[in-house]
Amino acid sequence: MANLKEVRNRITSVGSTMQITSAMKMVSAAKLKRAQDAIVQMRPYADKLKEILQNLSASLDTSENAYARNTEGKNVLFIVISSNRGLAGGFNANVVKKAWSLIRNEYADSKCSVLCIGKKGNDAFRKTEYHIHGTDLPHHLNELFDHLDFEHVAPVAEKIMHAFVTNQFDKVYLVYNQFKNAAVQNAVAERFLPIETQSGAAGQSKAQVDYIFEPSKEFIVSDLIPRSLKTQFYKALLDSHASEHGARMTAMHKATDNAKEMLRDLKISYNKARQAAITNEILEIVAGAEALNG
Amino acid sequence: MKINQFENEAVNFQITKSSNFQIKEMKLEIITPDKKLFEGTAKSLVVPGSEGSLGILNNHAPMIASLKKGTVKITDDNSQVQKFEIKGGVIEVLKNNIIVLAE
Repeated sequence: MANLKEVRNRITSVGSTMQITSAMKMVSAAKLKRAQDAIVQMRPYADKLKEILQNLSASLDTSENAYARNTEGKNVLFIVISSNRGLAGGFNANVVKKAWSLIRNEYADSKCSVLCIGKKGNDAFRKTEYHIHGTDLPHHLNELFDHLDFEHVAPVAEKIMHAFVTNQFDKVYLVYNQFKNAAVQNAVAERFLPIETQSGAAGQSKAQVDYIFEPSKEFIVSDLIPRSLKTQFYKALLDSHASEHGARMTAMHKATDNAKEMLRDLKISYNKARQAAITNEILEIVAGAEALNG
Repeated sequence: MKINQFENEAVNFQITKSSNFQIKEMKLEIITPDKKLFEGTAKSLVVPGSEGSLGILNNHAPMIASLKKGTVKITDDNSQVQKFEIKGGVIEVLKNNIIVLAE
């Protein structure tokens, strides 16, 4: 039977761990709510932008655009979006695993580079040959999550787009956790550049309005494409941010449950030990009294 | 008397019909990726088009224009002026519904 004092110590330590995990869960729930709100806020913007762009590109050939340069080049950049903090279940591990599988399998014969957003991803790739070097891009972007708004994200997206346009990379992929709901996140790899040039058929079905274009169709399209790219990049970050809090919330919920379970078992064995000690004591007293009487 | 009234009604009907046709104000939304800056009605609007300032009144023809850095100036129904700074964007005007996608 376990030592009474030992068990008591374990009960206190498990109890305080449970307090921490349940507090973390609550904090994550609040942050998740805010992160989800941010996604909802940007949706009208993204939808409208997409609609206008589709409307325009239906009648225009966008394959001439600098962002559509689709070469067979072997320089691939993966932008791995992870988080700055751990304790979020498989959140960071999944995204790192996804990036590794892309590097080793699909793009094994390409020259891969990895740009990490978030400390955990950076830790995983910092000491590998794939970690980004020899470009004017920043090596990591951990502080981006401190102020996650469009104003801070847009310059980063511009830098990446510039690196693509100046032929430093031939393909750019975003590897991040897509937000499904609070409990489910999918690690996905999404093509960022070159942009997909859709055929005109998709947009044609809609009733066409005779718009005035100011200054010109071509100008607006070339102005809108970078905007929609920045929006896509921002959306990936927001998704990943919401996923992070969702994953942490789920992980902490499970941890709290486990701690509860453990606490129950410990309490049972504590009470058993206590009861055994009392029984022992009575036995001793009775035996002592018997010895005196005899 | 009764006929007169009927005629009056007919005239009234015509007026309401024509005033329906000529909407006095425009619905306006200014959206950024982070939030909705403005939603409501406006009497007139001045935006910084990429090749010069554009003024928009009601019943403007459908238009898509790109915007550069500058100020969006809204005059609402009470002739109150509101200003928003934008870094660029695009504006869509369609049937008195105006959407400004700003950065």
